[in-house]
Amino acid sequence: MSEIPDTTAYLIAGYTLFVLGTAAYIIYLTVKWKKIVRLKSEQADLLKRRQQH
Amino acid sequence: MQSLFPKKYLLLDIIATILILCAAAMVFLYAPTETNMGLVQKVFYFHVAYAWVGMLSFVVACAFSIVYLSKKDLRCDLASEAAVEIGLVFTLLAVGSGSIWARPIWNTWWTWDPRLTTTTIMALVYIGSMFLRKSIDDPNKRGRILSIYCIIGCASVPLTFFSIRGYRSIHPVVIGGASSGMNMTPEMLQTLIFSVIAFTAFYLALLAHRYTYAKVREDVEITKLELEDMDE
Repeated sequence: MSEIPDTTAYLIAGYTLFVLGTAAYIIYLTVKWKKIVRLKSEQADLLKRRQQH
Repeated sequence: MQSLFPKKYLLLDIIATILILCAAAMVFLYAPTETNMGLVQKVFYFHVAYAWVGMLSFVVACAFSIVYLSKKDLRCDLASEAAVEIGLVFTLLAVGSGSIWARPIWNTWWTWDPRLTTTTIMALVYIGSMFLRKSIDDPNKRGRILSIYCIIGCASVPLTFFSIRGYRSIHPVVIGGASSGMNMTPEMLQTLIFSVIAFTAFYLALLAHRYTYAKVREDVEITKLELEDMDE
């Protein structure tokens, strides 16, 4: 009976890539989202102040 | 919480997260270890799911592009933009994980096999689409050109999918073909199907978030122009 090859290191590398790659994209989206929400809120304040003047 | 993520997709986010955790549990606890490849075979479940989402996303982008061209609805162009970006991320991760799997199995990180070559072409087509989007300022012109580009670019999806069926390839054929199913046991097949469903749900959640971001960004752009007009 042949032995099962030890490819554990490649399994770890594969799933590390999945986790880090996906996490990086979620972080990228979160940063972009926070930035745009802050910009929108600043614009709303600016519009309000201009309408008051 | 509004500053972190839109709340309206919370349920979808929770469902997708639970499904992915269940898929991971199935991969590591339920699916048996393949005797010829060893543990690296378990990369296959998520690799196929990522590749599936990549291709699905490009088809979705094409569908939104067709609707944009017929209705001239800017929201469809924004949805297409979101689908292309997500599709590219998933395709690149599928290529990377495939390369890691190939090293112990094919004894090489990369080979110009028909599947790998067509996947690279598909990824380059969509990288090109993202550069093209950044280079056009006028939203209508951008939407029109990008929609045509996405529809033509979508031809790379069936080309990639059928590349291992029409040409001589060393890449395993999962659906259809002589080596169909890679001699999978029922547990392996169930894990694969569950992983594909889990990542499709995750894809829908990501698409919803990315589309919402694009919509808010457009609103900000419009308000910016209004403020500039008020200054003048």
